Amino acid sequence: MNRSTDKFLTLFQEAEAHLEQLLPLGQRRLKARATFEHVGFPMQKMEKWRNSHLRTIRETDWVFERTQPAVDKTQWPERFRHAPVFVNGVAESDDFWEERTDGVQIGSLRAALKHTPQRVFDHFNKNNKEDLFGTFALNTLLVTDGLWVYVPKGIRVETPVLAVQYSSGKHHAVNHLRHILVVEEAASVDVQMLQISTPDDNHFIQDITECFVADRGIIRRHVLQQFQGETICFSTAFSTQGEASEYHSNVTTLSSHNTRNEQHTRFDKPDGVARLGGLYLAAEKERVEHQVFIDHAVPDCESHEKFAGVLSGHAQGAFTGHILVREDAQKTNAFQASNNMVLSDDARVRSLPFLEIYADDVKCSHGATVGKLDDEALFYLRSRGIGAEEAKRILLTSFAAATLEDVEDENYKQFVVDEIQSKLAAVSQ
Amino acid sequence: MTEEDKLLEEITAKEYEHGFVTDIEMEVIPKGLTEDTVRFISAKKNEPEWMLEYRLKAYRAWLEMEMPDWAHLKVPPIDFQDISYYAAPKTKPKYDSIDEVDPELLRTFERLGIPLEEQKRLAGVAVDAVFDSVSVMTTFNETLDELGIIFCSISEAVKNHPDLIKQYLGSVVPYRDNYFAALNAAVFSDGSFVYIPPGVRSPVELSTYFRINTEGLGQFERTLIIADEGSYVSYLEGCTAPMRDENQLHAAVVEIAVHKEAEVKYSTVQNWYPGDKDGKGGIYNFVTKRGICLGDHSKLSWTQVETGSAITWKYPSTILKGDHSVGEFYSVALTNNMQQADTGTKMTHLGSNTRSTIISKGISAGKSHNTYRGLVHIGKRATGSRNFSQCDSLLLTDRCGAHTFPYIDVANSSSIVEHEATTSKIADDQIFYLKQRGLDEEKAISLIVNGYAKEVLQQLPMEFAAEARKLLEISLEGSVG
Repeated sequence: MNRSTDKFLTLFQEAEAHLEQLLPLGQRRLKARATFEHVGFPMQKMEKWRNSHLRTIRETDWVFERTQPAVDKTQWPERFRHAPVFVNGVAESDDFWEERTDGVQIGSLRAALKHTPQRVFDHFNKNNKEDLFGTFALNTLLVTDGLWVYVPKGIRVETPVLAVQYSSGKHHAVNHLRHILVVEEAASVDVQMLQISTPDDNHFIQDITECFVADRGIIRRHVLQQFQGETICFSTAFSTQGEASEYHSNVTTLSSHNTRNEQHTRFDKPDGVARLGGLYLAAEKERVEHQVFIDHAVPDCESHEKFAGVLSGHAQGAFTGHILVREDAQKTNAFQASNNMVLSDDARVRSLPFLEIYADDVKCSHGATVGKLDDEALFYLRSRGIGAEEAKRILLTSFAAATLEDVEDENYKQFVVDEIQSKLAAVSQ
Repeated sequence: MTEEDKLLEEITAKEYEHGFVTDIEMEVIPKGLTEDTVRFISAKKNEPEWMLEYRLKAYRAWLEMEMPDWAHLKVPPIDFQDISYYAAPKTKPKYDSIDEVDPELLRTFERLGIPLEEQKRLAGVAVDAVFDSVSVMTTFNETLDELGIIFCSISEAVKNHPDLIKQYLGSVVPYRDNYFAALNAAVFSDGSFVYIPPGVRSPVELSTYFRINTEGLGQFERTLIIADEGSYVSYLEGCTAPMRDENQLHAAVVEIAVHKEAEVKYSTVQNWYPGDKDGKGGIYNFVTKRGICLGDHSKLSWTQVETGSAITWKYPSTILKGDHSVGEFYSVALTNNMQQADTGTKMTHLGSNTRSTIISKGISAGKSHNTYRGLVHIGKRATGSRNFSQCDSLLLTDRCGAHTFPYIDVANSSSIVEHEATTSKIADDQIFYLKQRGLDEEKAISLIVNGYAKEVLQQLPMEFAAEARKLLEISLEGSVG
C-alpha cells in the first residue's frame, strides 16, 4: 500500500462520523473504503497518471475542515455572483432545494438525500468507476455534498442551471464533491459551473459529476475553471447515453495550479452523439491535464472531441484521448483533435491521442498538432496596421475560441470568450 | 457452396509458402540459460575476455529485469529455460568457393530467392547470409575491401576490429535498455557488422538474410552499422522461416551510428512464419532497433514491411542528436488470422532544426490485432524542429483490431509537430468500381491495399519493392470476407 493510500484511509477514519453526519451514505462508504484499499491511490508510474503531478498530494498531510469560511465573491465573474455556492465541498445554504411544479429538481445532494433518497441512490455511483482509479473510490469515501439536478421525462429546462464550486483555506483541506445530473427521456438541461478558488487556497478538491442521459435526452455541461491559489483539482465527469441522446461537455481552464480533468463517456444505445471540448490556458508554473475516454460500446454513435491548449511560461499541459470502438460497434464516427500552441521555450506539452478499434465499418480519425503562432498570419495582421501584441491576441483568441464552437448558449459563449481575451491579454505580453 | 466460398476455401487452405525444413546436421547446446551458457557461446566463438565480460554483465542485468507488458499484445508465457541458445551448422563454416557450400543449404537459399550466386552479384547485391547463427558465406568482399568498407559477421568484427566494436557495441542500445536487449547482449549468436569509411558511398546495397532453422532455437542476431562522416549505405534485411508448431523466439538488436553528413537507409521485409490460421506456432519477434544521428546534417531512414511473425514487438527508432539531422520511418504492417503486431517508432529530437517524418500504414485482417505505437519527443534544445506523422489503419474484417497509440511530447516554442491518423475499412464503392472492371474481390482488395501502402513501398530498393508487393498479396490471400 502506498503512502497516499494510507494517509487518506487515516483521514477517513478520523472524519467518518462527521462525513456520515453531513451525507449519510452508510455501507457505500465502507464498500468504497475496501475498493480504495485494494486499488490504492494512483501512482506516477501508472500509464494514465504519468503526466499528472502527484508529489504534493503524497507529501502533504491533508486534513478535513469542519467549518466553512465566509465567501468572498469580489473576484467572481458577474454571471455567477448570484448562483448557489458550494463552499469547500458543502452547499452554502443548508437547504438548497427547489422542486418545480413540472417535477424538475435542483438542489444540493445533501438536500436531495432528504427529499428523494430513493432516486439519489438509484443513480449515486452508477456511473462512477470506483475500481478504475483509487481517486474515484476516494471520492465516495470523502464526499460531503454536490449538485443534484433531475429533469423528468419530456421537460426541457430553458434557463441554464448555474452553480459555483468555491474553495478557500490554507490548511491543506480536502473537498470532495459529487454532482449528479439526471435527464429522463426527451428531457434536456444546461448546467454551467464555475470552479474557483481564492489566492491563498491550497486545498485538494476532487469533484465527480455523474451524468445520466436517457433516450433522446440532452445534457449540456459547461465548466469554467479559475483556480488562483495552490489548489489541486481533479475534476471528473462520467456520462452514459441512451438512444439518440446528446451529451455536450465543455471545460475551459483559465487559470490553475495543478488540474486534472477527466471525461468518461459511454454509449449504451445507438445513435448517441457526444461533443466534448476543452481549453487550457496555462501560464507560469501551471499544470493542466485532460483525460478523455470514449467508449463506443454500441453501433451508430458519433463522438467529437476538440481540445486546445495555449502554454506559456513554465506551464505544462497534457491531453490523453482514448477512443474505444468495441466489436460490433459498427458505423461509429469518432473524431479527436488536440491542438496546442507553445509560446515559451520553458513550457511543455504532451499529446496522446489514442484509438483502439475492434470494428471495421467505422470512421475514426485524430489529429494532433503542437506549434507556434503562424508568422504569416501575424505578418498579415501587422501589415493591416495592427500592433504586434494585438495581432498575437487576435490569433490566440481565435485559436482558443474554436473549442467553444459546439457551445449552444450564445451568452455563455460570449462570456467565456471575453474571459479568454482578458486572460490572453496577460499571457501574450 | 458458391463459387466465392470455394475460391476462399482453396486459398485459405494454402500453406505457408516458405515453410520447409532444411535437413542439415546442427550443433545445438542443451536448452536453458545460465552463466555457463553465456560462457559457452563466448568460448565457442573464441571471443576475447572483454567480450565475455560484456555478455556476463548483460546477463546479470537481464536476471534482474522483468518482461515488459505495456504493449497491446497477448504474449503467452515464455519459458526462457526451454530455449536453446546456440546452434551452428556442423559443416565447417568457411568456404573458398560456392561449390564447397552444402548443396542442401544452397537449395534452401534458392527456394527463398536469396541472391547469393554469381549472376545475382551482377544485380548489385552483396549478401552476408546467416544460416541460423553462424555466417556461412560472404560475397563481394573484394569490391568492398577496395573502398575500405567492412561488411562481415559480428563475430569476425570482434576479432578483427575490436576497437570499433568496443567503441560502438551497446552505444546506441545499451544492454540495460530493455529486457530483450539485455537478453540479446548476453547470448547474441551472430549478425552483421558494417563500417563505411569517411566519404565513401557504398556502391552496392548490402543485404543479409536471416533464417531460423533448428526447432526450439531462439535467434539472437546483433547488427551494428557505422556510417562515418559523409558516407552512404543502403542496408537490406529480409527474413523467412520454416513452418514450426513450437513458438520460436527472436530477439534481435540493431544499432546504427550515423556521423556528420552521412546517410543510412535501412530496409526490412519481414516474412517469418506467422503461425497457422488458428494461431498455432509462429515466430515471436521482439526486436530492438535504434539508430543515432550523431553528426550534423546526418540522416537515417527506416523502411519496413512487416507481414510475418505471430507476435511483433518492434520500434525502429532514431535519436536526432546532430543539428539539422533527419529521421524517417516508413512502415507497412499487415496482420492476418491470429497475428498480433505492436510496432511503430520513436523520434527523439535533441539537435536544433532536426526533422522527422513518420508514415505508418497498418492493415488488419482475420482476427488479428495491429497496433501503431510511436513517440515524438522534441527536447528543449531542439529548436526549429519539425515532425510530421501520418498513421493510417485499414480494417478488412469485423473481427480484427486496429489501434493507434501516439505520444507527442514537445518542450520548446519554435517547433512544429503534426500528427494525423485515420481508421477505416475499404469503401464499398471502390470495390464495386474494380469489380465492375472485371477484377474479382480478392484482386480488387489486393490492388487497393497496394495503392494504400504505395507511399511506403516506393521507399524500398527496387527488387525489394517487388518482393514486398508480392508478399502483401500472398499475406492477404483468404482474408476477404
